[in-house]
Amino acid sequence: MKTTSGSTDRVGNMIRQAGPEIPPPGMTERIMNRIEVVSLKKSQVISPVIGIRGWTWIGIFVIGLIVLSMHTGLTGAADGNRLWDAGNLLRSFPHPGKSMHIDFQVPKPLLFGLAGLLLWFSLDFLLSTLRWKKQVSKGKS
Amino acid sequence: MRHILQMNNPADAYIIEQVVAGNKSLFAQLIDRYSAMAFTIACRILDNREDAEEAVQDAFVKVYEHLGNFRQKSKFSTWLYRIVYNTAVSHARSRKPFLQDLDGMAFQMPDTSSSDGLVYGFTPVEASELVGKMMALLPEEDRVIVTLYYLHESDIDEVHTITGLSKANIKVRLFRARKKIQECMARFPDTVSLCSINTQ
Repeated sequence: MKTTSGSTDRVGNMIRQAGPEIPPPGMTERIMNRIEVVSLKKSQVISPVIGIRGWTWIGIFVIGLIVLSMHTGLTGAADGNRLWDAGNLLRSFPHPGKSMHIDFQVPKPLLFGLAGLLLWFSLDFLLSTLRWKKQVSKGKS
Repeated sequence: MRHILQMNNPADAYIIEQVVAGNKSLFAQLIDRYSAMAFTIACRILDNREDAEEAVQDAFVKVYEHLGNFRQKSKFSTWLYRIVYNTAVSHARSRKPFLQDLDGMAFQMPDTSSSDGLVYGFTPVEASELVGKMMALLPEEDRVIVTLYYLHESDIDEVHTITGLSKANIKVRLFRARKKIQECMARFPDTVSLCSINTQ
């Protein structure tokens, strides 16, 4: 207790008697819900979307596309001076009654491995996103 | 003695340690312990319960996010109230200015005729209403200073840490606020609205 003169003590006593403002009911729960959402966003949102798994998935997908397109003659990379030849792509596009020539040079085990990895990362990505969505809806309720 | 009182509550230190370690449900205990004073500080600045709750929520979320950075060199309450104060000030700056109805500030003093055993003849509810009205006569920062000094029983150093104002400025503001409140109280049982006209 502070030692002050009678008149100032009267001010202090009045303020102390009034006490603090009473917080609205349920404020603690609302704060905890917000904290739940914030910590979920930190741990789950960033991880599946732009985390290492997400980037690996995107990387494998892009590399897979490049490898497959090179071996199906869709790019001009084999010529040494063109990364992507749009004319070649159009010329090789299947016409009615004429199928596109696909010459696979990639060994089958490597192809299956690539497909397996793609499937694994896709499932992992999907499941973690679903798990996060479920936890966020639980945190909001 | 004062030094001992200013030390961190051991229970706070344990809870903070546990929350940082991942036991976030314990954070609710810290909220329960300090939400009343945090809410009071926010109310004094924002003068509106809804805005004050929003500011307090934001402040507690910030505290949770940065709890690992709290080095326990000061009291947890001091650190928390500083964040609440800054958050409430930011909210006050960002919200649209509103016109206050001065007529609404006029009120009759509570009836003190049957008030045996009550301090100055007021029930806590009446005192709360009266203090709220008197606080409305003060600038935002002065309200917080008076609240921290009298209600939280902070010393000038702690008020300085929470508000960031200089110690000399705090003393001057405290003196002026006290004088204004005393003038209002001296006019009992006149209305505070009359007092507000005379003292401004």
